[in-house]
Amino acid sequence: MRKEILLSIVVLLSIFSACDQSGLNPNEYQEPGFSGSITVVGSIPPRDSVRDLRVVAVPYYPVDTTVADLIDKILNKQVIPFSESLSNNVAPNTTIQYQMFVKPKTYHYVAVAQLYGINVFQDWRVVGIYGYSPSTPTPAPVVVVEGQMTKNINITVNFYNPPPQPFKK
Amino acid sequence: MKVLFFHIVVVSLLVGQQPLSVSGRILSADDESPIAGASILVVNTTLGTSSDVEGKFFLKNIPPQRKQLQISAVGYRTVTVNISDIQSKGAVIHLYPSPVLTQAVVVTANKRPQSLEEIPVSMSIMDAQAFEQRNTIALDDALRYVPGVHFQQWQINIRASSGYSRGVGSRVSLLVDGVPLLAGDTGEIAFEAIPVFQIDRVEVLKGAGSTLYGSGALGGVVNVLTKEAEETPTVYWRVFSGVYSKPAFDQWKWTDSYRFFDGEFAGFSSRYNSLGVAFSINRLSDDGYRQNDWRKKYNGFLKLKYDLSPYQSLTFSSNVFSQYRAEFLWWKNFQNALRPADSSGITVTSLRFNNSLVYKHFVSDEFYYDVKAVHFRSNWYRDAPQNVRLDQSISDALVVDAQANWTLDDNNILTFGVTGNYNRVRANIFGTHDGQGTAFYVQDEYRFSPSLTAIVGVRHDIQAVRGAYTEEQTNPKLAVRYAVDENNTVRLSVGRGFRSPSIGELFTSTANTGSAAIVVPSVNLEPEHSWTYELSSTHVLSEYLQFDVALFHNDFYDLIEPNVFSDSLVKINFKNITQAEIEGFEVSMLTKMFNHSLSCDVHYNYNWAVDRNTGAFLRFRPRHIASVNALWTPPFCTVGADYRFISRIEHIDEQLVDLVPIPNGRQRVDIHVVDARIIFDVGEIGFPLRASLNVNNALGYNYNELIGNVSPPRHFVLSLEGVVR
Repeated sequence: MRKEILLSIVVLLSIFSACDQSGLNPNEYQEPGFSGSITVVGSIPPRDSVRDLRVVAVPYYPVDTTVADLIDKILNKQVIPFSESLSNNVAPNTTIQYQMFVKPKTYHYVAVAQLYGINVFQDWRVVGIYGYSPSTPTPAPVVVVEGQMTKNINITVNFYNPPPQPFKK
Repeated sequence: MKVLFFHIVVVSLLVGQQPLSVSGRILSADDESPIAGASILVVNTTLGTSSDVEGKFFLKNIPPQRKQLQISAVGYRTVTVNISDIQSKGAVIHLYPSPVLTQAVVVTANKRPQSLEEIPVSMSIMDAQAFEQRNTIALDDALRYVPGVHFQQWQINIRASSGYSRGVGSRVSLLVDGVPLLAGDTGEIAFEAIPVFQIDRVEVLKGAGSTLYGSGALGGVVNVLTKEAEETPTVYWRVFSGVYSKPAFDQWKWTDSYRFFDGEFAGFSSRYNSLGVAFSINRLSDDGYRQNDWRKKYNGFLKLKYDLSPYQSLTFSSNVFSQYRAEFLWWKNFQNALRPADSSGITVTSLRFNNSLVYKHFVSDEFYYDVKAVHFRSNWYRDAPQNVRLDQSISDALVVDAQANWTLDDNNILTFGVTGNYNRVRANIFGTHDGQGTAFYVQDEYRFSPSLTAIVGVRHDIQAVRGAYTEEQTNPKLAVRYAVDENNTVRLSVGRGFRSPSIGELFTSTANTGSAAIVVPSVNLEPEHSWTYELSSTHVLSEYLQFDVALFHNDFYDLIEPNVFSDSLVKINFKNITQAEIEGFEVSMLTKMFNHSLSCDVHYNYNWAVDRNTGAFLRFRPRHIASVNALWTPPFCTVGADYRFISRIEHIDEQLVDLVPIPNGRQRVDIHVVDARIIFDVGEIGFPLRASLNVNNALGYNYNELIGNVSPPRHFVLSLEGVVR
């Protein structure tokens, strides 16, 4: 009888210790986000005209907005996430890999923005939009879900033939 | 000779009028083992006592015209015995085990003592043993095993009635000995302030209970009944110490040392002639398993019951609670789940006390009444290091309730009463406000036949908060109980419930307190209300097996929910935004085996909780809740294990996660928790000591009840307790 009790205790302790890493597990967790490549086509502007280059993910269509409004939403309200600066990797006919960790939601307008002047609150323009081409002018949405990295969000950038700007004059 | 005869007659009459005394022993009919904690009441008086660990009891000053004692104990069939009979039988009373708790006497359902099997609504009870065996430190720990109950950290949710709103408002009403105990400022339940070591039992009424209990009893009522004084001087004590397991993942490690908790409890209880005295003190210190999550708390409790006569009693209760703790709101992120998002070292100090006075008077066999008054003061302060005060609140809640029970005839019992309440709040985040209310209620319980009983009741409330609202609410109730036969009972009930917005929901403003998100006032809130429909039944299949089934449907209107929005800053207010429908069922199977030495209860609750406006599943509600409770009682020891399962919360407040923000706040899983314990009781061999080892979250399962908050890991608790008489 003692043997059975001892065996039961050993089995129970084994089961208990085996369960230690069940449930929430940070090792199995994938930070949500999206990734892809930026392909630069055509020639590139002088270095001092590409002061910064970032991917921004806007959860809505920024129709008829202003640069200042978008900057406010990026910096103050943190509702528009942006990537790290990619300007150092810009070269003619190159492909730049990028990855962004963002909150899981649908981003209706994912674009590459270029800082072309010295005023970081004003001198921005869009040089590439995910899903945009002259034949399909509607941007494609990027869906990010919890615990997953959405891949192949590839964007073409053409500095000298940019897509339509969403900004008011 | 005539003189002598006259004297004999007079003396006989006088002797006949002498108060009676009765003593005896209550044993289990199964195995002659003593039953501790059995309730012995002299019918239609305020007199009563409970049996000691040897099953013994003693009652005196019983009026000679009183003929009967009612004896009840959880797990046994209630009996009513003639006093003369037990005197002639040497006062040994045998109680027969019931496979279930149907025979327990409860008071919450209809504001009068009655057998659990007589009530027409769903109710669960937990007795003192359940608390002691689990080494319960806080009331909410034990309530997690009540069927249909779910917690979001400290916020109770009965049958999915509540979502989550941090610290403001509760859709469940908390009573202590029948008097409400909700904080005057936030209207929340302060579970930590309940003196758990003094709990005799807890009754959980499910569904709307506003017909008798007014505002707040929208989803249910939790009534905590405290212990009565022992007949002879008795000292209780308990010491316990525990340790948390180290974090399961290297990323979660934030300290190299083990984290401990410990506490002590000491109490005294005795009756001195007409005065019953019970008091206790306890202390708890907890290092916390998370960084900046420690706490220290102290609690003192006093209960004095004075029998003015066999028919009148006056009970004074006082409870003082003090807590000093660090503030852990949510994690830093998933990789640092045991570190707080805010590591600035904010602390919260609470000082709460409540005093109550209850006068009870049995005017006749047919009529008795009681008058209750309670004052609950809640002070809390939130401080940053260097004694920088961030928030503070001082609130008072005063409730006076007068209630009468009138047995019109053998089949008709009328319960009616009037109640009034006054709340006052002074706080930097709520402002200075007051509110008051009054209500009257009446309920008639009519027995058409021994098997068919119906209850009709209504309560009318007028509630007002200065500067916000004045509202009238009428809450009717209809309930029917039909006993098909001795073993099968069917119940049907319909009732309305409501909850007035708390001062916290109306006036909270954190614009100047440096909080992560700014809460703005919501003075236009309306009371929320609900209709509850329930069909339930109990089936006793044998002495060893019982099934309970309940189908329920609730319609909720104007539910108050937090609303997160963003203009120039992230803001939160409260709005009447949801019309909801919650329906589901609850099934319980209660078994006892091997001559009642092994019991096993299985419960399952399914909730379908839908927002009528959007069609979405309601936020912070689980769809499935299940539990299994097993208890084995061989000689000298008790072995128990509880398992509970709560399905993954399907919908949370995504805006709260994004805008506050709570990093990785969407992380959540199904909950599987096993709590196990072994208790050695050597009291039966004359040594008044009980030792127990509890292993809580024995599986070491990593889960979170609340977004951004990992629940406690596996922890071990060793406790010693004793009773000295």
